[in-house]
Amino acid sequence: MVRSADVALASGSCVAMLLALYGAFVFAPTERVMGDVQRIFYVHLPLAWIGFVAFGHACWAGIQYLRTGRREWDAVGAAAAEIGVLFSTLVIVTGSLWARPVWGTWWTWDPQLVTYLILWLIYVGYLVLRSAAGDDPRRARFAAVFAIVGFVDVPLVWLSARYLRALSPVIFTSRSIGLAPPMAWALGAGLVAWSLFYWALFRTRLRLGVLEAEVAALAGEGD
Amino acid sequence: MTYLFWASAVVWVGIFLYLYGLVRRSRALEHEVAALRDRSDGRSGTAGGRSGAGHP
Repeated sequence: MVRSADVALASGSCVAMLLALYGAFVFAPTERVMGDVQRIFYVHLPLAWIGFVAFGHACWAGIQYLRTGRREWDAVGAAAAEIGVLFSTLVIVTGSLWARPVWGTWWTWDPQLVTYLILWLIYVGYLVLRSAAGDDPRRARFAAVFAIVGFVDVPLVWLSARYLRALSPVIFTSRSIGLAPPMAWALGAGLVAWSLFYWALFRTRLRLGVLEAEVAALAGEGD
Repeated sequence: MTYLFWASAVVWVGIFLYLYGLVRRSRALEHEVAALRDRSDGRSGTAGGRSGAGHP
């Protein structure tokens, strides 16, 4: 059953997304060196950021599952990791589409890209493990440990851009945002819009996961 | 501009494919619930028949 909170969240995220698209394609000025291709950044960076949030969410759910053993936390971890993999896949693709005209290559073995690819592989592995290991508490325990260990890579991705001479531009520093104000506003709108969208998507996916688990349990009892 | 177009297209196609996948899973779940309900109704009907036969 769809609740009014979900409808409000979905409506809010739609409005925020329209504003973010306006910000990215109309409000933000064209970057002088890269031209229009720089606008990819207004979707690429929010997706990367929310992907990290999703993996952090999966890690937190893993910790809670190991602590309490409640199946709800397993469902939370699965929902967050699945959306995290979706977003990080889109980050890799949009990053390649940005890199081709700017760096002259689709992919380079830059420390940040490599650590990000490892992060993506870890959580793809997490989803494969979940689908392959049946439906028992052992699977949930393995998945929880996997989600926690996988999240260790997130700070490595972040640090590699700053300390390992990575090619990716560093936008946020402790002192400033390396963007002109209209660009920063467009980016902020994107971050808000994708955050709301993540939350709406997460709630929908979580409800589906909980229902699937309940139906599977009922079907198991009936057999 | 071509790269910007493809990046936007990939993002939205990816999102819509995922949403479509969720809708399909939701429909499959509805079918499963309906099948469970039918099975449960069938069992209660059988149980009622037996008790009726045992206690006229």
